[in-house]
Amino acid sequence: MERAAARDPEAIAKLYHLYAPKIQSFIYHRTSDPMVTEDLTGQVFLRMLEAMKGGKGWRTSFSGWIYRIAHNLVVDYYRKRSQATYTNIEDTPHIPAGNGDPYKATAAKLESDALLRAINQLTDEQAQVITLRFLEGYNISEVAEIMNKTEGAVKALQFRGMATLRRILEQQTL
Amino acid sequence: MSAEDRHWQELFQELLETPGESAGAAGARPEAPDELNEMLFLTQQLQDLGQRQMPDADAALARARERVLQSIPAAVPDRGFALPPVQPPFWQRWRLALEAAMEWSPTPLIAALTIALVLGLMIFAADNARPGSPFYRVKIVADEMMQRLTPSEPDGGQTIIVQIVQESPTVQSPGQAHEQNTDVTPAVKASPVQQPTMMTQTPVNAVPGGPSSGGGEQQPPPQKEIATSVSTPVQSPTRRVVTPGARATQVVVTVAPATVVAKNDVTPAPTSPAINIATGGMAPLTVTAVPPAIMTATVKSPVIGVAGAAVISRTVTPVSTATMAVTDSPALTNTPLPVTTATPSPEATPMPAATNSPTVAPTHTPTVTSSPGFFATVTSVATRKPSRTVAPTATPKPTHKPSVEPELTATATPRPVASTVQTQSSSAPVARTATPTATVKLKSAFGVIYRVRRKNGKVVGFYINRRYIRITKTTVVQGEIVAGGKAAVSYYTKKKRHYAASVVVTGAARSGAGREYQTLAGAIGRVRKVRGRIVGFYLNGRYIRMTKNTTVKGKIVSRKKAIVKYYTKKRRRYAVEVLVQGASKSKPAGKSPTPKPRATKPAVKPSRTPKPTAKPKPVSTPVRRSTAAPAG
Repeated sequence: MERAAARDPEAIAKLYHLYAPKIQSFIYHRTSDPMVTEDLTGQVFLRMLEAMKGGKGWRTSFSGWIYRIAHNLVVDYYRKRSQATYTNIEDTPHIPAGNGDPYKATAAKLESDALLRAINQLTDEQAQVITLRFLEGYNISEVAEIMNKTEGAVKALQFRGMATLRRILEQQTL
Repeated sequence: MSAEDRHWQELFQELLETPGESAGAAGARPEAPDELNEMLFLTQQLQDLGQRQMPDADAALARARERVLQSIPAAVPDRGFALPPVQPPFWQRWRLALEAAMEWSPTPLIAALTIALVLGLMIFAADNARPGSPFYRVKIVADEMMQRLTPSEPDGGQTIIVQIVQESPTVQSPGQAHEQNTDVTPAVKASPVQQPTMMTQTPVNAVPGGPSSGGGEQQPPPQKEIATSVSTPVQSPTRRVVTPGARATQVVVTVAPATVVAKNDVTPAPTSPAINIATGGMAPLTVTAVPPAIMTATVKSPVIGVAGAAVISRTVTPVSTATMAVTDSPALTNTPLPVTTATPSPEATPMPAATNSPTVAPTHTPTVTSSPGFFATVTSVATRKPSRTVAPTATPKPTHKPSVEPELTATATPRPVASTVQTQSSSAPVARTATPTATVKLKSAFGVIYRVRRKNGKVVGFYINRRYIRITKTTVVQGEIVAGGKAAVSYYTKKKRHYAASVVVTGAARSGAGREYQTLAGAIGRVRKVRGRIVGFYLNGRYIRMTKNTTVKGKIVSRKKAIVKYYTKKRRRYAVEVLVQGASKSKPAGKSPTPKPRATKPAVKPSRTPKPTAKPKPVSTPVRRSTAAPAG
């Protein structure tokens, strides 16, 4: 980390290889769109390089910093997407029917989309905790380290986030 | 967070962290409420969602990596995030830069050096080029570049002189030019300060036949200094060089051809040494006017502005065609140069007064009086000899005879820019003979009349283009002068006041029939004042602006009803008429405390005057008595 902070190319390359799959998974779980994921993953590391070039690197936790960049990019993506008023049917995401049952695949897709929309309505910290905790599979201590928070704070964020998520989904079904 | 929430939070966390425990296990707990069960079910859904893997994740990751690598040069200039290079010492930088340039590619550097070398050689070879030479154009371009690159104006003027001198080898002062097989250019260049002083001091001396003009070898000391300062071989047998003083004179002659009368603005002396030098003692010489040629040589140079070479801005005029009675010598050496402006040819500017009756002509002769102003004044002086008898020796074109165009030809009144008019031209010509006619400069204005001043119902002036134009008795007005109308005005200025000569109202008034008016009635809302003056008010929620032309009947007060006639311009409403009616009946009673004491006053008044009410009683008593008496 120290070498990477000193802008050592090899150290940065190692960091990239270490975090790129995680960031890609994080973004994919938040967007459910492979194309967008590919695009945003590249942008995350470009932002990382730009920030390091400008001397604005991470302070305490690199993982928290890089996840924060990814989270901000996802939020920006949804914000821009919400401003769009129409979608071409050709641009709709491809829904693969893994089991050969299109009905089930579509239902799962709709369900996951509803979940993602609900997550996007949470606060930034709640959404990040929920994503890291349940979608990415980190435990409380890891999430606390990534987010530079105490475990108690992460637990509280997790509980409130889940409660809010439940209410949002209830309202959506109503 | 309450204790109950904390309890459920702990329980939720406990269920989540218990290995193998899931929503189904949570539902088995009877104490867990439905909300907790739903949260656990939601957790299961999220975990299922997290199990989904991105299709072709590795390929997408590789593509993303490629994108990053491609975008790195644009995003981060120094690829590889290397540390900033150490700055070498300044004495090594040039070497490093040269090495870097050579390492990069020596071809452009060599090409640039070659081009520079070739250009330099061409300019050097073209330095002595003559017209007709293939390098002459190169020389002209180089001279122009040298003029532009000359840092200061004096140097630029000197450069111009040098170039002109070089380009005029055939012109020389016959008696003064002392031939030298030298090139003057370096001499003049070498003494940039001395040469102007030389020219200022030596023009008279340089006059042929003068005390110091003893030929080519007997030169004044300063001239010798310059002449001897350069001794280069002859470049061309046709090139002849004169002394600096004469050289400046050559500039005069070169710029102002001999077919033109030159008037020196700087030295109005009758005998200009510059002219004498130029002509080489041949007095009237070719310095005579050939109208209608108007040539103006404007060579800005402080050197030129000096006596002897003062031709900085010579206004060259043909011989004054107006001076029929004036002895106008062709050489112009005796004319005091009364007119400092160019006089166009008579054919080019026919004067309006030419339409006047020529019967006046034989009895009057116009004389041109010298006036320092822009225009000369033509005065009619009664003379016994008609002017047409005077031979117009100075008039190059006899077509402009005084018999045809008498004193009103105003030939000495040039009109280079604006037309001139004689203020009394419309009156009878007899009156003109008695009073001197003053020429005025007519200006024209075209715009919109935005304010009209009247006196006793008569228009006395109006504003147009931010100028107040006064209307006189002689003003010719076509149309009606109304505010908002388009008008073309020709006017003259006298004592800083503008007087209209003619007014032609071309367009309809803007505030006239073409405008659509609207009427609005309602209660006046908030009244806006600026410095105690009402500038607008609200009426039915619309802001109406007051203008200077707004007619107001009544007093504009809030909560009063009004009818407004207005027009809209650029989404703004401007009132034309405001008719304010009586006070509003919808005035809230509770808000004004003043009516109460007013209501109490009538009740008090009768109580204060009890006596008057008691006095009528005796009056009425007799009536009662009278009525009671019969009854009793």
